[in-house]
Amino acid sequence: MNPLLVVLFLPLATAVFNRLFGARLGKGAAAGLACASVLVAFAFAADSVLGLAALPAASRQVLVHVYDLLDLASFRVGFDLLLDPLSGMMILVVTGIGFLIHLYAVGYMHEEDAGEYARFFAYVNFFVFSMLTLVLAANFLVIFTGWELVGVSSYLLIGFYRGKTSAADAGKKAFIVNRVGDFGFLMAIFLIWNAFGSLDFSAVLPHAAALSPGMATAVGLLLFMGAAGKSAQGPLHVWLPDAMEGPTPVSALIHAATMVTAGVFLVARCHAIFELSPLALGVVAWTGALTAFLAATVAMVQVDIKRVWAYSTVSQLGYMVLGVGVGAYTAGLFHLLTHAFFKALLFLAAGSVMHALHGELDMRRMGGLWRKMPLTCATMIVGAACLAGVPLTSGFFSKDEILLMALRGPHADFGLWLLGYLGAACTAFYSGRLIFSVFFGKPRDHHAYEHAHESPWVMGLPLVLLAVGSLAVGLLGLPGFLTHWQPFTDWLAPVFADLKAVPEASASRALVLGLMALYTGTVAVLGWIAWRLYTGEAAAHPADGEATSALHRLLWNKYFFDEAYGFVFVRALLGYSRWLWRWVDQGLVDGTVNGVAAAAQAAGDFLRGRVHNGRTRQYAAYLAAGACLLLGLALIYHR
Amino acid sequence: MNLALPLPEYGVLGLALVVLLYDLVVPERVSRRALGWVCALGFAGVLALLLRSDAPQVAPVPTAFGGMYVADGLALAFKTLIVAAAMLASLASLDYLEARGVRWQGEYYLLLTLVTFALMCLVSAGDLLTLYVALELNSIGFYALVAVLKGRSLTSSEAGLKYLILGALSSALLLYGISLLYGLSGTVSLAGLAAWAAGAARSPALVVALALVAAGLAFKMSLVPFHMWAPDVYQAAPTPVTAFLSVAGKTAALALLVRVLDAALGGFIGVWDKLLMVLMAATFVWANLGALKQRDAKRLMAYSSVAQAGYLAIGVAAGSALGLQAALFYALVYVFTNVAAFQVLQLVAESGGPELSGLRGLGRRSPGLALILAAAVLSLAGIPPFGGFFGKFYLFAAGVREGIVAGRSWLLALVGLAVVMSIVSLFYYLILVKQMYIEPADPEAPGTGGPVAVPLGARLVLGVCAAMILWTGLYPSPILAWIRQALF
Repeated sequence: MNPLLVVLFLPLATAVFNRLFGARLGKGAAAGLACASVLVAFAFAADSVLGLAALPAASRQVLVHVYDLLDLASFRVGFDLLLDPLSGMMILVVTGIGFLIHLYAVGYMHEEDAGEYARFFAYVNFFVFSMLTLVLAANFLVIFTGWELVGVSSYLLIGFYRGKTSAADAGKKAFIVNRVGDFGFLMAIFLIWNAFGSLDFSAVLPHAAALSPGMATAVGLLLFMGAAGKSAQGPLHVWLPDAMEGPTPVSALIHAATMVTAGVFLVARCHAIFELSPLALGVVAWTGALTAFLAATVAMVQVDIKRVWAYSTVSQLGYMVLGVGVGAYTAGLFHLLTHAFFKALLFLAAGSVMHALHGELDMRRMGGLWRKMPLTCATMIVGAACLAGVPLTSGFFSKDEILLMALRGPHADFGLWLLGYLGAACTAFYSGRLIFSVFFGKPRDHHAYEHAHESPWVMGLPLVLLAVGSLAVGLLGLPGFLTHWQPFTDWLAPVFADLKAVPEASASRALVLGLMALYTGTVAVLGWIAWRLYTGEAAAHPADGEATSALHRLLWNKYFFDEAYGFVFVRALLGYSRWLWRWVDQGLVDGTVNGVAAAAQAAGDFLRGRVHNGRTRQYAAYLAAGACLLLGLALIYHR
Repeated sequence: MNLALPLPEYGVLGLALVVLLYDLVVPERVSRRALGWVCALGFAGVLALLLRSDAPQVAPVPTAFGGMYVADGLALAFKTLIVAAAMLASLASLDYLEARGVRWQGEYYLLLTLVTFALMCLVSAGDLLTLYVALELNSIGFYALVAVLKGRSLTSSEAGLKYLILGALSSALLLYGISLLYGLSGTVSLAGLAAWAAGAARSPALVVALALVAAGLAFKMSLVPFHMWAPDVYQAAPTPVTAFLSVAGKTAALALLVRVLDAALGGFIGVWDKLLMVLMAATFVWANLGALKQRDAKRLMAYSSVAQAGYLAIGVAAGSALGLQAALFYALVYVFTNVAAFQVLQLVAESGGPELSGLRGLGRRSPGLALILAAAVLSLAGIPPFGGFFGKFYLFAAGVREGIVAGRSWLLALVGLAVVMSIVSLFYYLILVKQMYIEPADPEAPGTGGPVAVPLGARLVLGVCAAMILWTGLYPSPILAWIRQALF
């Protein structure tokens, strides 16, 4: 049996098992089973990827046919899996980081009762299965299936705390906003089928050049609509910050490390289509750059630490999208990889703080916590350093690469670089602001401070491992002028072999070094400002609703996206629906339908009462009449 | 001559002998309930035998008794359905008869096995005489089975008598048609008829023969206006008999239509397809509208069965290989779906009575039963993911394809009518669902308290049927492959 099947179906099996019997097994067994299944899946994934690496670079593609989903003579779609360097990288991230987050959840969720506990692990395992289906897909139907399944698992987990209305609403919001994007994705799939008569990647992507330019643009834009929904790109980003209503490990796994990167993955997977349309690529790049910048500005004023990381995630996803949008797929994916480590770390560390303070998330009520929880503090500083792009951390290398490509890559534009640079400056500021407000300065809420405690080892261990990973993963993609050892680029090279060679040479060493110096200086200056502002006696946090300026008000209210949607879509839609209901539905449609139904019912009455009256003689007469009818017809038609 | 060819029939005959001997040997005061299990096991054995045999893949197909018995793939496939239906009917009868204290249970099971035997011979018939004798044998058995509640239920006896009178009339029509055909062609063999029909001139006598044969077959298939017996008989007969009659009787009638019209008289398709299509159009309209106002659950299902017969006939009217495959697939789905529906109605009627209102609150009282009935009626209405959806899809597709390829615009119009009327059918199917889930249960009504009791036999029936309804809807490829192989 192919090890990929174990990778894929083991988490599904444990999910089903835990949902059915987990509550009766007890907490230890349910959690042990869930963690073990992801660990085993990781081992098999590693084995598969090593097997892949042993093949010659050009033939690193393994197709696994599980069974036929549809077989209609002219149209055949199988449940097919594709293992190539791109999906290989993704399954390692999903199962590897997924395992650490599972481990963390064992401690984080321990206050839930056994039933809820088993339900949580069942859903998380189901998510792992869904995400693996998405990344391993070998055709558009399977990837769409995975796409929808991760949406479902995300919905289930955001609304995990069923008693909270806000959690249920957030789940619904995530699902509905995602449906908007899914609509585009589905349309793209229809167009692809129409153009190619097949949904297999192997039949579509290598022959993408057969698409007319207009069609390539349409398919590209529709695909990106799906990607923007899943990867929370403006204006479809509004669901992600609310999604933090879910348990923190879920935020880390689904809404930071894996699911939300699916859009980036999709664009990278379908790059052959995007490359045909400069317009589609431009839309991708500008959406990414604007999202990266705007979300970073919002993150500067939020006071809920999970919300800060949520907007930060939106912003960082913007960078990845910017990367793939300027044709720097490898750079975008490298940022995906590094971000998966450090953002998972940041969320888990935030969860650790929250755990210590009994659910407190408002950074205005924290301060000086480093004495109480040194491990959480140290690991979170590592994560924040990566996020801010402190030199020599992984985030520094990956973000620099994207910005360099925005300035010098095949589809470069100075405006894109400028937005990205300003966003990076904001990032440095809000990272510093959060760290300094939470861990340094004087405690602002003494009662909470006194009761704070470091988290247990099952939560601490994943933090340490992720911190080490966050730093080490940068080594996989050092800048080209430092070393020729480029494992990440080389690994993905077969996937992007169809692209023209990236003109790395056009960026001189002086420019690269100059840019690095600029970033370093920016991070240092903004970090210093944050330190001055937020560690002092009177930290510069305004109270709720107390806006210091119009700009602050704008950012505090997140550019009024939710309000605008409420006004434009929700209210207008409700009005329109009411009109439809009153006039079109009740008047026109119901009138017609009820009229037809009344006629049919009258006919039914007639047949039941008059014609079918139970008299055998009459029945026999009908029979004879029928025979005569047939005879007459036969005489008419026999020629 | 190969005497071993009708092995499945021998098996059923042997089973009949076992039933007979059991009834003779076992003292009278001992209940005959165990015979239900004996029959179910016996039929299961024959079913296994049928499923293990391969359909012949090369012409000429094996025959026995001088060509009077044909063992082709068509016969094999239809026999499989009939024996499966007989097995399910035996399981469904067990507790039904016992609860009513029916004294002649031995006779009941004997008739059940003999009817099954007759139906099997019917689908294997190689000439018109075998066909007619088998038809009479199963009809007479059914007349008696319908009236088996005599002494307890006046309507049961009335229905049996009504069925007998009308059945005799239709048999007379059919027999007269057959004799005319023999007079014209000089042969009763179906293969001989097919050879003759290919070159025969069309005479008035032939027209009369075709009309009479069509009338006789339409009665068996219960196409409008030859369906008048069906609602009365279905309502009054014991529910397991209704289920068996509606599925096995109809399946055999479908085989008959295929054998006589498509195969033997295929040369005259230009004549009889008009007759059949007029009957089908009448069936779609009449049966679906007539069902709308029914208050008795079994009577509603009777109209539904009449309408379903119309859908099945689309495959015959198309006259193509695709149409035949579609009809067989639909028949297969229909067997399990209808048995499931009748089984649930039978169990509910034990406590809630035969009216539709007896279903009220079932969704709460017995969620499993309600779910199965809902799945069954949605499948009958042709809603995915149940088997009925694919069945209707294949049937309509076959009709449309034949209509376009052969330029038979009437067939296209007929399929259009079938689609429209299957929307109407959704209304009365959903009445059942509405009763179970939406209508509030009347707390005063009898038997609306606890969950409905489901004895073991019924459990088995429901399990098999529910599995098949889902299987045929979710993963029909193996079943389609089996059908294609049978009808090579």
